[in-house]
Amino acid sequence: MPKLSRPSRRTVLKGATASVATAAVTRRGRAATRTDVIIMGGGFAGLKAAILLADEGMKVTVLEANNRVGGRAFTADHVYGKPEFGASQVGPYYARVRDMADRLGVELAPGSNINAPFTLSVGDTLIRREDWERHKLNTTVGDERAVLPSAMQSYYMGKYNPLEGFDDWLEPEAAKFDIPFGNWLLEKGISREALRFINEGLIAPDVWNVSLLTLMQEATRGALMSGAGAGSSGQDRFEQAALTSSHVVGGTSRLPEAMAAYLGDAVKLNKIVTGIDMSSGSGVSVSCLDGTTYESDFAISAIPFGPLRRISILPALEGEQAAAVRHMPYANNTQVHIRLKGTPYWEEDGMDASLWTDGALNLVRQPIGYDGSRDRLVVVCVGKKGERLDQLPPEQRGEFVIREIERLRPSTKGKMEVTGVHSWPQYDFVSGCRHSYGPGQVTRFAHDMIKPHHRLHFAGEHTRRLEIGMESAMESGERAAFEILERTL
Amino acid sequence: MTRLSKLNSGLSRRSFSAVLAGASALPLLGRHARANESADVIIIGAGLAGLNAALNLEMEGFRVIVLEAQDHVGGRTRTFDLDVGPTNAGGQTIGPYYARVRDLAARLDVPLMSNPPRVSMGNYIRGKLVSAADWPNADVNTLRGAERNVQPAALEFFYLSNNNPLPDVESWTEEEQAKLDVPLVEYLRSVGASDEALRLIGVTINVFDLSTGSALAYLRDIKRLQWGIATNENQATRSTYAASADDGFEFSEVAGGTQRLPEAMMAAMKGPVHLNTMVRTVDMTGDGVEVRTNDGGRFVGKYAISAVPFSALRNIDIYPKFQGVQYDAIRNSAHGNTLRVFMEFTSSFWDDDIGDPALFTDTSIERVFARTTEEGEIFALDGWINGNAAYRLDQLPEEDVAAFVVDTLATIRPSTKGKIKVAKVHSWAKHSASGCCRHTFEAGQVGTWAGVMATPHHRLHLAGEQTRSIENGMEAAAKSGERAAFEIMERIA
Repeated sequence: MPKLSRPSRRTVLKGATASVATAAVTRRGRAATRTDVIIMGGGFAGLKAAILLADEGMKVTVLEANNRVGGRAFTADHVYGKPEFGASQVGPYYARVRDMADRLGVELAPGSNINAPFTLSVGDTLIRREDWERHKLNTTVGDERAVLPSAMQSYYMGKYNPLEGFDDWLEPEAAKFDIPFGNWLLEKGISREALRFINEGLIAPDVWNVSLLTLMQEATRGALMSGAGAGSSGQDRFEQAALTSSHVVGGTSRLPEAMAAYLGDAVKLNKIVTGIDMSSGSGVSVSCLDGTTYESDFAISAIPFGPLRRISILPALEGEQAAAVRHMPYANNTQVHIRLKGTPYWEEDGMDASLWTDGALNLVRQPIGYDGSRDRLVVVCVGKKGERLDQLPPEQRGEFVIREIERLRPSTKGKMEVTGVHSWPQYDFVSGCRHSYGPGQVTRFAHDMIKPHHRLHFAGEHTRRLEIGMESAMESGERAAFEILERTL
Repeated sequence: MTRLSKLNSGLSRRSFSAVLAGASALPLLGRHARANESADVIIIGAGLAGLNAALNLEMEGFRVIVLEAQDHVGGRTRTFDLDVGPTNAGGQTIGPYYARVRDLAARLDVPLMSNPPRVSMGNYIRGKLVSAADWPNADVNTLRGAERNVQPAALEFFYLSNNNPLPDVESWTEEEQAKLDVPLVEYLRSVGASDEALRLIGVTINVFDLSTGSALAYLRDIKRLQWGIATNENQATRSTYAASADDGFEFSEVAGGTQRLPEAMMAAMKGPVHLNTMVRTVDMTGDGVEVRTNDGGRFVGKYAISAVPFSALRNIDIYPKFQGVQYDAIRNSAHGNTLRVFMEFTSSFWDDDIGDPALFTDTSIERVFARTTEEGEIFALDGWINGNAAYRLDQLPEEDVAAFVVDTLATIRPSTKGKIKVAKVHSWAKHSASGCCRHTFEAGQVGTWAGVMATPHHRLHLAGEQTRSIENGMEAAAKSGERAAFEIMERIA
């Protein structure tokens, strides 16, 4: 079970005493913009760290580059149906998220990201799930035949994942799994076609370019979330989790907004950091694109490595930490949101409304609203499919997706209207939907990259230890805040 | 010579489409789709590399199909027809020895014009506006020794041209040069660059930063440029092009914009160029090559050429996949980015301050060039941001980028206030299917990757500027296409 737990009373108290002392120094004639800790990034990680430090009496400044807080929690209030562009599922064991919501009076409700069942589109042919096992286009082998293409990854991970504890992935003996996912699948006897199906839906460039070990961690932690044990043949992990998870009422963004409101004017928006200078040895000076400068005793980077690599850090990062910031791959997720009109296409062709495809798109999800509404589609492209969609100019992406859905499923013709297009890699100040260790990088990076660099500490979902999803961001912010509290004893 | 002699002997004008029509082995994908079109060679990418490959193959009687992801040809030669005139966002200068590019232009009746006169570039360093003439003695000039007389924008060329140990361009991949495959910062220090020189070079360098970019790759490029220069003396204040032009070498541009050349190349083709056709998979597990496109199209060929940058090739599923070091190079190569902000202006604001229309700055907007007509009249300002700073600004919406550049200029150069309007923002990483402005080598990668990057993979041949050996710029792209075409001709002959 998790090693990282809430701080002991003693740790917290010591931290509190120290921060009072620091605050006193701050009052004695430092620049007005000086606080105890500058936190870069107003997502869950940064806001959690800021609240924890503020509650311990420290003066904090949160610098957020965007014009809103939340980072990859982003409820698209401006799009029909208010879809979640980012985080949506509050898992049953997301203790920190649930506690924070409870504390700030943000309401949670059961279920999250529930979709209509999926029809398969394989080789441009529509296939009902129940027909898949015996379908002539099913060229998978043996037990794989009964597994839906969309569930193939969950099937293999569930069947063969040897990890048990949430932190097993960080143990030295786990390093042998820090290899290309595809190599391991071949070793397990996967058929070529099943391997292709996994590749088609992988949230990474391909099975050769993602570490098996990081997928094992997610599967281990995810199994708790979905309640599923051994490989399930019918549903992938996210589908299972939809039923056991909760959602934030009114949209995920309401939670980080409440967190920012709690912090008040400590949160500064539109602050694009360009430099972090610790060369004086006695503090941190953070400069922004708009010419402003903030000073502090310590700083936390709670932004993804993508934007962090655009920031000049003095003294420069070194060794594997520098390599991690420079090279950590980020997964792709590009979405097109659609409003449906006219008669239900799924009644017209008599097939399940959502679509899994092995073509240019990954998923064409039909979300079922909490009020039962079924008037939207969400097209998700991950990995190379997302990269390719991103190679099109934004105004052409929606048009392309509509044409592709109509081609695969003629009953949708003339019934779709694009309401929103969102690319996480191209979205301001994010660079990807989440980190994605390449083979060998868990061993190289996971331990070194979260170590404090002079007065700079690291948070963000990429520095997670035990958790996944938004809980991992909260976990990381908590850890970074504790590191600073301990230093100020 | 063997390639040329084969060409001269004339390949038989046979076509492989007949063979393909009867191909019976089933490729991995597309068992259920019918071939939309077939040809001898499917070429992915309609930049100079892909189009030159196509023209070379067609000249020898092969049937080709070119698939282009974007709605225009030209790749990284892109011309925007702004109100103030055609403006190049990518490839622009045609060097004196660009034999293939010059030959193509001549054959296709694409007019060239001489390189427009360059405009003097002043400096904004450490908060102070300093004219080019005043720079050597300016108080904000904290350079040391000989470098004090070098304009900030010329420091990179000053150090790498005066201290270039490569005996010739070809030798850059030889083992004995591996000692130069080190971070630029290390090499520049070893030849005497001061910390301030490093800082100023770091502003505009088009790699991630000086501590990651390979010195060897830069020395290769500089060595090639030096071919066009009769003397290497007195390089303190002149850029490469200026120095070369002064020495009588002819630099040119395509009249009306560089993109007119690839457009003429497309027009000269017999086979089709399919625009808006992005490739999804290249399947070589059967006989020949089957190319599937993002919109469900299917193209079958005997061979294929990838003439797209690795930043795009890595988004295509290739069966069988690339292996080993070549896979690493394609997946992990770093790429440069350039963000261009084209601006109109309403008065000769430079006459109101330092007199130099262009400006080098150590701020986040880096450099502003002034674009001139052949007659030397300035018609547009060209904000030019390279490397990591471009990626940083790419995080902003375009309208914010435009406002940022104009506001920054108004602050550092008050004479521009209210006199500048942004006409176009173009980021190569963000606004093109290429996803980059060029391939870059990081330290150590020349030794590891350069030797395998162009190696044919099954029936897929590799072109594009990243596979260049000795040429630069547009000529490198054109040559790489020619090479890939020749490779296929040799296999078929």
